Amino acid sequence: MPPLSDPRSDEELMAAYVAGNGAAFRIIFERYAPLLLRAMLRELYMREEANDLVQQTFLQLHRARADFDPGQKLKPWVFTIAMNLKREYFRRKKRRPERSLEAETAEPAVPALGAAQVEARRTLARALAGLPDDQREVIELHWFDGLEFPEVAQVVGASTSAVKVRAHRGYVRLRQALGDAAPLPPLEGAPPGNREGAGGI
Amino acid sequence: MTNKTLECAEIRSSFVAGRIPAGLEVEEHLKWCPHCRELFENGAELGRRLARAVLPEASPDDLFALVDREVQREVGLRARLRALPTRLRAVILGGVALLLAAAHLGLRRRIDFDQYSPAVFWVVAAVLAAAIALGVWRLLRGSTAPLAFVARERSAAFGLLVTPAAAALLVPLGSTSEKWLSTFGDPQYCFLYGAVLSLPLLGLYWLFERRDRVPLVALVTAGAVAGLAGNLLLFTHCPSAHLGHLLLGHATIGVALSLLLAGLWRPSQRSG
Repeated sequence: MPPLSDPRSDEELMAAYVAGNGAAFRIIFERYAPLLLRAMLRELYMREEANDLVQQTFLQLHRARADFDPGQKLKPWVFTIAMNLKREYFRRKKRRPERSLEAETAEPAVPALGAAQVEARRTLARALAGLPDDQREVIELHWFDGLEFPEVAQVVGASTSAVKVRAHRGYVRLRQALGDAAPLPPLEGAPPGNREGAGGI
Repeated sequence: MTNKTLECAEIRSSFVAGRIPAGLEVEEHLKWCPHCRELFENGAELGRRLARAVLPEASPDDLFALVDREVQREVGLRARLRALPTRLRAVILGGVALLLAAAHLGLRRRIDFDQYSPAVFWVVAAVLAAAIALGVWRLLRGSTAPLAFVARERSAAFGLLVTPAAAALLVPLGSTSEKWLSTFGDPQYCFLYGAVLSLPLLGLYWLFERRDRVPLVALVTAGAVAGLAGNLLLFTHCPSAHLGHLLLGHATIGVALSLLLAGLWRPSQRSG
């Protein structure tokens, strides 16, 4: 059975893995590796380093499997591990993630980005870099990693309402920062490869 | 229109799918959701900008083979120990620290124990034990701790490092002997005794640590926790109530161990 069409939820798969079902780990990997890789590439721009962090995330997931609470959702738990590893990566390298976004001039290590999207990312990255860490983190987890606000709250260790307040403040500041930027042309459609966007309102 | 309440995530999904969300449900949602309203200002400029910046998912190619190989290597005593639940690892690590102190209290207790104020004794012991418990919990949560928890690591490590000095200020309050209040003694012996006896805790921490690349602040915390354990057992054993002796011979153990571990740390080091 193809991994993505496995009828079991992420949490059921994780419970199966904790119980010793090794095949469940493969399915969890298939579901989460593309999301984690995207999250890493967003700020790293180096495929090898991003791969290494994703690999580390799954290794940590394996080692910490006994800590997983089957009553909780898997996605925020996995992203907590990944974000901690990414934060530590930047701390080790003694640089802030925004710098790589701003300094990026070559083709990023992500597939199929059009010029308009690259430019939009750059403009937004500069505006995001000006936000306080707690506001930027919330917006990035929600928008770029696709976590719902209660999931974001779990990752950052705050209440859902606090996370929404941070998002609101971040949006207001972003709008102010983007005020001088050229307005966007009309919508051209969804970026390629975004499965999550399908079936919106 | 359905009875379903629209979530912020659905607004985002619609933007990411390339549409500006619209309809009665959206209008209802925006009435009570101020942060989503921001996305719709100026022709939904912000919502569209954020949506455009969402990267496509990336293919992991043959990454699973590497991950699987790493997971297959997870065998042996250390792999079993660090796979234990965090609560159990914390109880074992904290338990060993308390056991060392209890052993001293039973077998090598301070010679002024009967004259020392019981209230002050248990207050100081409780302060040190609580700091050990807190430190162990912080140390062993590792990568699964929420980001806000991890962000406070530096201040927590600093707090754990200065706790023995704060406890040392309380120790003279419980002493009734002029002799022990005024004798500076040999702080270097206490330092060595406490440091050597707390080393097994660092070994146990290494066995329990799940991260391959241990953050510097975690090593400082580990040194601080070992220092607290050393201070607790010295407090049960050494009768000195001289502040200079306590600060030099006892309270510096954690700082010294932290410096030692920090000196051994390399940015890219892997612990296993």
